[in-house]
Amino acid sequence: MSTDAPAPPPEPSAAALASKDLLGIEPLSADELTLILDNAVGFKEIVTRTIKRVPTLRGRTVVNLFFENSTRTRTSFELAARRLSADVINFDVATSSVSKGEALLDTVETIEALGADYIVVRHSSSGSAEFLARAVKSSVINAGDGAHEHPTQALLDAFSIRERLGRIAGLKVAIVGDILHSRVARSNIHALKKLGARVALVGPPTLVPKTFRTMGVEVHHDLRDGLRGADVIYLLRIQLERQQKNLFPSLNEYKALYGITPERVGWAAPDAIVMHPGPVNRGVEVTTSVMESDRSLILDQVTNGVAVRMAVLYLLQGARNRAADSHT
Amino acid sequence: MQRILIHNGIVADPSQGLHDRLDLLIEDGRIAEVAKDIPRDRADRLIDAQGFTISPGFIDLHTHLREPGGEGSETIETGSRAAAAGGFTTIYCMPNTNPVCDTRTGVQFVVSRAETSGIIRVIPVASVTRGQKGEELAEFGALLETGAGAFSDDGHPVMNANIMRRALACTRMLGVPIFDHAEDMDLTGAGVMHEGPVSLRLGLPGIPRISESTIVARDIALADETGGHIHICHVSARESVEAIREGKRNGIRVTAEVSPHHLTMTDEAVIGYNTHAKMKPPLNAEEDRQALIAALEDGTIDCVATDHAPHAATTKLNVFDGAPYGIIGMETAFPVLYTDFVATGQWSLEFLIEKMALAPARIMEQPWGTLRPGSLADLTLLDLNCEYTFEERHLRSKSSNCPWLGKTMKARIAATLLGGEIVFTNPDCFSVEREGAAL
Repeated sequence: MSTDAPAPPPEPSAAALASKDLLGIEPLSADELTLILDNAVGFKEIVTRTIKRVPTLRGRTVVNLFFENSTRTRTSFELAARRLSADVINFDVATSSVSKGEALLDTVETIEALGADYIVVRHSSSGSAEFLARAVKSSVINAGDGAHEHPTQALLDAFSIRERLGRIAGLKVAIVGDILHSRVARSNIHALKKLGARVALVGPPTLVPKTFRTMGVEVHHDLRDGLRGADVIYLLRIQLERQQKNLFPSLNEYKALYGITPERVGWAAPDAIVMHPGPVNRGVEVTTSVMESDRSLILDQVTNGVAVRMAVLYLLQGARNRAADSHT
Repeated sequence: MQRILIHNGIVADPSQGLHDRLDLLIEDGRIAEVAKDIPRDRADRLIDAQGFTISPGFIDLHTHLREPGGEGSETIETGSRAAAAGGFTTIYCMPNTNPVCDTRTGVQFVVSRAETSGIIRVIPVASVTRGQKGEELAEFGALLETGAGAFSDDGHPVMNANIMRRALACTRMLGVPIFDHAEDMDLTGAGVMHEGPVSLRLGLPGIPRISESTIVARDIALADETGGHIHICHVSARESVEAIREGKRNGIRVTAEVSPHHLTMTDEAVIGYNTHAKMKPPLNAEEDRQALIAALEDGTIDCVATDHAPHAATTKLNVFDGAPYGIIGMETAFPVLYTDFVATGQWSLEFLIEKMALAPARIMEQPWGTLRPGSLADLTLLDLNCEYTFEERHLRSKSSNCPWLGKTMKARIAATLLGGEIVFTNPDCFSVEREGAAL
């Protein structure tokens, strides 16, 4: 231990994560998931105080390396890092000139050489976070890699469900929409399954192929079947480009078959809650009235995102310290 | 007249049903005699093959040597050295170079480079269509006369069925096959690996098996109608196997090859976003692999071909969807298949040698792949009593995009002879003293 040990969080935990990186939910154990969620409870208390800052990561540097635009996720990571007193650099690379291969490695190695302790990366290629994590000693946090994983989204979703419904084990969660192209769906499937929930996927066969059953989930092409008994209705954003690729005939057709209306919420369990990772296509995958009803968790998800990401940064710091200790 | 006697070895030649301790006498680059105890005084030179098995040289119908245009990853020289190190004495190289091998000049270039810098027989495959664009037919007759051995748009399919129909009609007239890269680009779409549970979990866009099998079925129908010879490259899907089996049953002129990687690996190899498991066609499911093995065993698939596809190291050090398709395979083909199928007892040695030497020669109607007296002395000495870890130092290719680095192998190539000339000796098999004495 150095003498300049980081200040403990409100409820310090001796445990840490096994890996220096957070690349996905799939490699995490249920205990690790629970550890993150439990720590996030304490951090949520901090972010609701008047003075929302603790010195935990003072002197550490977090670099947000976003190859795809995402104001929401990047801002959430930035706030989480700042509230832990870390220095934050936003490195936006919207252009594709450095988005592949060597140039990608060069970029990340440069960022590491500048002294980054954490690199939060979002990139359109599945596996990009793992690819970069192999190349650098900094902690890599996957903020979305292609259609693969978006682990902090699934963590904040699990946190929000647990906070509202008191548990995750035994619940039925119906995820509706474009599962095939969704990293949010994949991370949620892993997290919810590990935490003991039943997961049903709902959507047209082109977006929800039956092969998903190999991940231990139900697959429904009929919305009413999929929602039956669901405690959580989790909606994904439908992107217009999917229609252009003929994965479904039109947004209107999608809306007619799978759009969530107040009436259709009634197909789920009584008191079912509605979630969405945002941004929402109002009037397509869900009506405004459902979104704004008290069953909607959409704004809680945003608030909880900061607390969960603080917990991740804090716990990875533990893994990094342990790795550093083992080198000496 | 130079006479070489290879003695003390075991001769394994499926063309003559031989697998016995025999001596082999070479005169003027051709096999003169295969018999027991040939007197040493009949030779000017002795090669001591003690502990080795002598096989006909292997033939690879499918390689990419990258020259001209891609010399950073392979040249005809380095590619031919990799071939010799893998026991190959004849290889066909695909035309997807830069420029594409679609003119007399292009074919002449490969032929002359092979003569000056190649150490084994290198035969250019010219393109089916100009620039491999799938629009205008190449000048088959002129290209054949210049030295092309077959035609292929490999790397790209001939998507227009009518162009393929005409190409088959024209090549039928000339008596050469079209090597068919069967892939429907619309079905492949953005796919980068086999479409299945693994692609779903990794979040990588999948290539459905029907992307291959629908074109295989189409081209077999076209071969039927035109009487042309269609040779299906790198078969990967079980539906394709069924189409070929049906085609052969109906007497259609269809032959097929399978790669060592499709025989030994599945889409599970991609886990971890392993770019050395990225190729076209993709590594498919275990059921496909089993169907390919069964098809090679029952003769539906005729032969093994490597699809040796070198890429510079930096290009494979990439995110999965950004990396190029293909792996090298000539140095590893025999060791991998011997280790996984012969050493395990599933195949006989003769079976594997037949699929790597005699069968490809038969497809091309060439007199190679045999040790019959009168044949060219193209042969390879195999060390089947070894166990070692395959490493980068074993590669002669300019590239090292090889998924088998680190694999424990139970066979290696000890030496390769082309027309009676030694073109490769393995330093792990011949000590300096023994080489001095024996070779």
